[in-house]
Order: sequence, then C-alpha cells, then structure tokens
Amino acid sequence: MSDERETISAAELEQALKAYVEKANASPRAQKTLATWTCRIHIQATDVDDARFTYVVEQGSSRPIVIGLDGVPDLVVRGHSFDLAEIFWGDANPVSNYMQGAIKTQGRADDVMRLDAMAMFIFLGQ
Amino acid sequence: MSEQQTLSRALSLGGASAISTGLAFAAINFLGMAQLLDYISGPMSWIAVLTGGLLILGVRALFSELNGMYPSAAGIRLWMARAMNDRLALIITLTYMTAIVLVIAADAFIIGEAIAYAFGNGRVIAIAYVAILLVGATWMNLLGIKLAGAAEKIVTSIVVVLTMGIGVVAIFHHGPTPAGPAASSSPVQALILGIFLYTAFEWVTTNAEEVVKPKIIPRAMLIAVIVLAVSQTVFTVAMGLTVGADGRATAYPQLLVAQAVMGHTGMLLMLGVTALTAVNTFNGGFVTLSRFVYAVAREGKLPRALTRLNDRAVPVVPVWILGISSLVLAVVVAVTGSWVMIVSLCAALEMMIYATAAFVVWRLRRRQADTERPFRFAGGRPLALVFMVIFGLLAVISSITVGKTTSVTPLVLLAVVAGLVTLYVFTYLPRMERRDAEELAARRAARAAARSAAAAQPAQATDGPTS
Repeated sequence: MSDERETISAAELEQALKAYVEKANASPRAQKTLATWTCRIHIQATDVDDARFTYVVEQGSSRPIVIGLDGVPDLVVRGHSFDLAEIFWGDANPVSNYMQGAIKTQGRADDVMRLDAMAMFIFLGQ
Repeated sequence: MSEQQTLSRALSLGGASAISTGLAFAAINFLGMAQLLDYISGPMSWIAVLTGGLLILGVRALFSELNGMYPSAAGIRLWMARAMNDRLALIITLTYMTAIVLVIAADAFIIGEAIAYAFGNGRVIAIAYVAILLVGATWMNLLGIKLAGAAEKIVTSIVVVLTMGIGVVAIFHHGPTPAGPAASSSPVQALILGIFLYTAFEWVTTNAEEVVKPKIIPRAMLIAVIVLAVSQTVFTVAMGLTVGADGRATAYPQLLVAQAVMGHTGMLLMLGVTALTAVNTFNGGFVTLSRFVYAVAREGKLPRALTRLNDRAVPVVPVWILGISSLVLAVVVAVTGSWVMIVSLCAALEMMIYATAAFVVWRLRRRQADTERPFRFAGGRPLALVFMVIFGLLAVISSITVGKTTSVTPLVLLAVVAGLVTLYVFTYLPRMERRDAEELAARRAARAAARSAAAAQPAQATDGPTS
C-alpha cells in the first residue's frame, strides 16, 4: 500500500487485468496447482466509478475480462485503483495488501489465497 | 463492508453458529471440566460454567465491535496494528498462535489415550495412536482436504446432542455421588476453568467475509455461547455426579461418565464424540494456522520459505511445522503426563488475547471515534478497561497455576515463546522489511518509467514525425 496513491483510470486497470489474464493462462504452475479452482471474482475500484470488472477463473483457466459486474460472485475484491493495479501489475501481492487492509474482500478466505497463489506463480515466472 | 452484495457461497447463521460452537468444543474441554470439579462440587459446578459464560458474553461483545469495524480473516492483525505498535501487535499475535498448536496436540493426546483406554492398550500404543492421528491430519491437510460447511454443521450437532444426551442420562441415573471438594477452595480458579470451556468461540470472526449480513457473526457467537453453556453445564454436573477424583485425573474422564451410566456401549459412544470434537479441532486448527502463517509470510513479516505452496495450493511448510510441533508436544505430554499444564497454557493465552481485545476496544474508541461500528460494546471505554484488567489478572493467575498447585512453569514457557518471537521481531524482521521495501521501490520505479514511456509514445505519434 502506498502512502500517496495516484488514481488509475478504468482503461489502465482494464489493461493491467488483461495482461494479468494472459500471464495466468501462460503459467504452467498456475494451471496445474489451481486446476480445480473455479471462481467468479468482482473487482471494484472504490475511487473510480466505472472501474468494475468481472474476472472468471474456471478450472484454473482465466476467461477474458468482462467490463462491469456480471453474475453472482464467489469473491468480491474492493480497493483503491492504485492498490488494485499494483496487484495486477505484480508490484504488490494480494495477500499483503489484504493483510494491511488496503483491499477488502467479501467471500471465502480460501479464494483470496488462491488468487494470491496465482499472482505468486505468475510473477515468479513459474 | 459498506456495500452489500450477494455471494454464491455465503455463510448462513446456522453455519457460522456451528463453526463457532465446533471451534470451542474441543476434547480438551473435558479435561477443563474435570479440573473445574476439583474446585467446586458437581451439583454446584453449573455456577462456575454459567458465570464463565456471562463473562464470555462480554468478550463476545468486544469481538463483535472489532469484527464489525474490521470484518476480515486478517482482523486480528488489522485491529491490533491500529491500536498499538505493529511490532508489539505481531509479537502478541504470533505468541497467541501457540494456543492452536497446544490445542491440536492436546486433542490428539486425549484421543490417543481414550482409544487406548477403550481397547485396553498401554501407554506406548496410545502414543502410536497419537502419531497416527497427527500424521493423518497433516497428510489430509497437505492434500487440501477439509471439512465442508454442511459436514461441519452435522459434526458439531452430533457432538452437542450426544454430549447433552449422555450428560442428562448420567444426571438422572447416576449411582452414589462421589465426594467432591467441601467448598470451593479457589473460586477464581473455578471461574478461569469456566471461561476456558468457551474459548476459541471467537475464531469464527475469521469467517466474517463469508457472510452478507454483518449481524450474522455476532448472532452466531451468541448462539454458540448459549449452546456451549447449556451442553457443558449439563456434562460438567454429570461428571461431578458420576466420576470421582481418581477418574477425573485421567485424560479421558468423559469416557468414564458414559461408562458409569451406559456401560461399554456408552463408553464407545463417548469415544466417538471425542473423536468428532477432534475432527473440528484438526480441521479448524490446521487450516486457520497454516493459512495465517502463509498470509503473514506473504505480508513480509515471516520468512519467505513459509509461502511455498504444493500442487494443491496448500502452504506446505506451515502445515509440516504445525504437524511436527503438535506431534512432538503431544508425545512430550504423553510421556510426562503433563496435560494439566496444557490447560493452564491455553487458558493463559486466551485470557491474554481477551485482555488485548478489551484494550483495543478501549484505545480505538478514542483513536477511531468516527469509524462506523455496526455493533457497539455496550459498556463503552470504562467497561472495556474493566474487562482488560479482569482478563489480564486471570491470564497471570492461569500462567502460575497447574491444577491445584502454584507453579511458574507455564509462565516461564510462555515467556520463552514470547521472548523468541520478540527476538525474531527485533532482529531478523527489520532486515527482511528493508529488503522488501527496496524491492518494492525498485518495482515501482520500473513501473513508473514504463508507464511514462507508454504515455509518451501516443503523444509522439500524434505530433507526427519531425523533419
């Protein structure tokens, strides 16, 4: 979590998410370890009105990002646009931001951990 | 959480109540009941259990306020870090986590001893049972197998109903009442053990993000306290009416209660109940502690080795550490017969965390006076201070008492654990934090440069080539 956070636009956040999805699908470790994980995630920036996305992981594979909140989520991730962007850029990890209260979630802690695991595999290049 | 939303797998009031009850109702509670009966006679033991329950209602209100402010599995880290120095918060949290290792070890030991008693085996075989149980629990956790919500509800319901059923039969069909203590030699000790019977009910607050209505967790804790009060009052009284001092000094007094009134079948039934309590303890304990350690390590507060995941997304190192430390502890307890000490240690740690919660409520009422509180502790700052003092004193008393004797061993053991944690926090952790801060700064600088370059490119394209 940064002390002075800039606001990240919805377009830039979307780009970060799309890049994240590509990396997730290219990560053999994420595909293998999270092969049984299916989760519909709603991502909402608290400081940018139109920064709302739906990210669906099905059997470990990430589907293309949907703009807006689609369907009933298993997990909701909310936070400042910069804190969310840092997660999808790979600069900060989801659990660290979560433990420090920078992002808030609604849903099972197991799903937060798996989202974190995915980020770890992606950014360790596994 | 300000914005309400529907979740596909939201936790219901029933589910949350079962989790809260199941976490508190461990096999070690039966030893707590037996020790309590050393201070107060069976027919009067309900006074200690219910008085403990009344104080626990205050604890429930404290945790409800904090959980309302920080409805998160990371709640304990969040509210403590906002009320005190982060280093101190980390020392308290990591020391408190020892309680989970103690409970898992104690439950494994109790079940091992109970199985050995039921089938007429000796001490060595009992230790083998303990090892098998803990190796099995570790292996299942490494495979990522855990009890689903519905199964947890069924297991907890069976434990509560059968414990109460056997207790009621014992109360109405008991033989001659064994001699109890003439009068309570230490009402404070009886009260500590009365409170001990409810401890860990508050761990359900780590499920706060799974509910869609903030009131579910406080209500679930209330239901759990009532269920625990009724079921454990009945069984404590039953134990006092059926089992004498020698029986209560064993590691399986609950089997003797059932055996006294229902024979061998009753004893086997109670063995099943004891095993089921451990299912909840192992399930909740392993998952809670291993995931918490993983999260703190990812936060950069514990070594990175603890973040290693296996192919089932299970943090392997924390699970192995928990399994091995529980096994070593359980074997030490079995060999030395020092299970009474485990009760003292667990009680001291729980009283410490209750005193801490009271302090945090007291501090945050001033520091974060304007923060939204869906649930408010009715007594305000003055009563929070009273709770802090009461539980602080109870923590000290618990840590210098083993059974009916005064002993500083629990205090020394806790001081050693806290000392090691403090040493780690003030020597190794700062180096890790510096390294992480440098890495984050480098990543941010690289990111800022990349974004600046990306922003400059379209601008150059718009300007067109310069001749």
